[in-house]
Amino acid sequence: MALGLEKITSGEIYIGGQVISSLGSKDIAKRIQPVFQDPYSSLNPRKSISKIISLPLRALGVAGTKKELNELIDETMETVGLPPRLKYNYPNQLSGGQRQRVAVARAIIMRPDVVLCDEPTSALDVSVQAQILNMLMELRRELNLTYVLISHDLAVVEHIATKVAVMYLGRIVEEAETEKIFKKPCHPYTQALMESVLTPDPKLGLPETHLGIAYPNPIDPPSGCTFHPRCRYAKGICHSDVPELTRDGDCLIACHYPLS
Amino acid sequence: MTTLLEVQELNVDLHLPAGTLHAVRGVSFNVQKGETLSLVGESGCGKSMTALAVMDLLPRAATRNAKILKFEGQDLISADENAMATIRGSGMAMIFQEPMTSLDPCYTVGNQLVEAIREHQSMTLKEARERAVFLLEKVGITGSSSRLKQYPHQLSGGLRQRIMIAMGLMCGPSFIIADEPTTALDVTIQAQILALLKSIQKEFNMGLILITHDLGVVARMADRVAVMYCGQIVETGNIREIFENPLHPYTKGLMECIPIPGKTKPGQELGSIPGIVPTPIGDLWGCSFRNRCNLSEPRCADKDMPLTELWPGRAYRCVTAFNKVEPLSGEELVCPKMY
Repeated sequence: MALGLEKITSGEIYIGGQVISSLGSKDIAKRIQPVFQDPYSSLNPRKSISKIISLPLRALGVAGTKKELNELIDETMETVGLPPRLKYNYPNQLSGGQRQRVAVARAIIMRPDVVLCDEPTSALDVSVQAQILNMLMELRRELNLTYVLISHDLAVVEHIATKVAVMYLGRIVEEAETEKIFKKPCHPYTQALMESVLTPDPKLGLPETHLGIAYPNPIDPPSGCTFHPRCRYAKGICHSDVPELTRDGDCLIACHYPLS
Repeated sequence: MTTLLEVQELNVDLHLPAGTLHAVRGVSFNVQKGETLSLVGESGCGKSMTALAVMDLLPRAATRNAKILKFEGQDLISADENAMATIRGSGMAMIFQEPMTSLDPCYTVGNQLVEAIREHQSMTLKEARERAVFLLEKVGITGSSSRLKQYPHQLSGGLRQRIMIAMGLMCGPSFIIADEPTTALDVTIQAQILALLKSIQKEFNMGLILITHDLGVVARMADRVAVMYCGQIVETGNIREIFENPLHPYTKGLMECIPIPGKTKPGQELGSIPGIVPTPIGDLWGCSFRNRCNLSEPRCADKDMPLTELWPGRAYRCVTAFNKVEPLSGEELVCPKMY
């Protein structure tokens, strides 16, 4: 939705203070660019790497002369750690990590304000994941980028994010600074999430999440707090009343009985 | 302990237009009753191919040869298709990675569960259904008799994976191969499914091969680990040996790659292994990791890279590994010989 690809049912999205619905799709694209999950399906197999990377510039009509465009492509490829000689190659000749670098290059060539990374490393091997994460952090420092990182891998989240919003069944249930949320989760769901992270420590056994088995059906969500059927702290009011997202100290939380 | 599965010098070659791909090269291991062996490695390192070779479910383009391949004392190399069909399912079962693609969308869950057992044992439909209901409850599915009438698309990922596990258990196998059983699942569901697998394994005293690339899963589940790279086992050991004192540079690299909540400092640069996993096509020699290794020396390219055995069950395939190693104190050396 933030990319303007999906219509908003209600509510508003602001980018740099401007309402997104007041902007044309090209204006949105200048401000926010995506990096998708699967670098195998998000790159057009019939276009060369230089064509893929420069598409945002050409689509928005700001490509400039051929020479300028070429220089910018080379520069961007170097920024993301791709040798410019790969320019005339096609996606199928590249490895997963290289493809994800191409996707990142395509996203940053416009110098957008926000880069939306949807599970940027979940399709990659562990050893390559670290390369991409390192690159993302370096780019953030150098280009002063803002990332919206979508991920289910909490280790990655803790490593990269400065602020975390935990979602459950379409709602944000807790939002706080990364350090705070990892140290002291307030929502029972966040707590269960943290407990299910499997750190590579052979001395610890498998965690008990107390979650019950069924993930609810999003078409017919449970009444009240949507998490109550799986929550070990649920009481009467959780079945009937939807908890509002309220400020509690330095975090936002939607729970009738937040953990202290 | 009794040996369930014995594999020695297993090789799998895939004959492709581009040349022969050596997917599995000289892999040897044992699995005992009630034990979990984890095969760890990145995609394309041959871990799934090893599993398929044991089950004799390799794709047509592949050839398998091995010095020894024995399951419960029975030779699998000479076993014909009929004998294998009997062993598969009733003796050993496999839980596949993608519950969505490995369940048939055209049949109800009940149909698929019952089919397997009726194939292997003479059982009335009613008895088979009862067994299915019993197992669904075992894997934590409530209202199981109504679940039997549902189709796979009506179930969530976690439920489907539970059904896959129940299906694997239908004929009471003594040995299970779980190929990335939780990769497609949410973190919270993952923890539950793993706990379930472990409790069932304990209850039935089954041998388990757990194939995964997730070191977190390995650490919490396995008794012994075999790290694979490019079709070879590059390091083996029991779980604590591998995690507390990895010897092979690749194993070390893998451990440094992953951010660990509470250990790695947020924002700090992660260790990474440069380059990409090579494709083992054509003639191979020396250490296959040498191009990505920061310790590589000219002798790493020598013709053969032997597996150095330190003591039974602990071995590594490297000439430059420098750690001083001793058996961990207080650790009983019960590990069987791995190669």
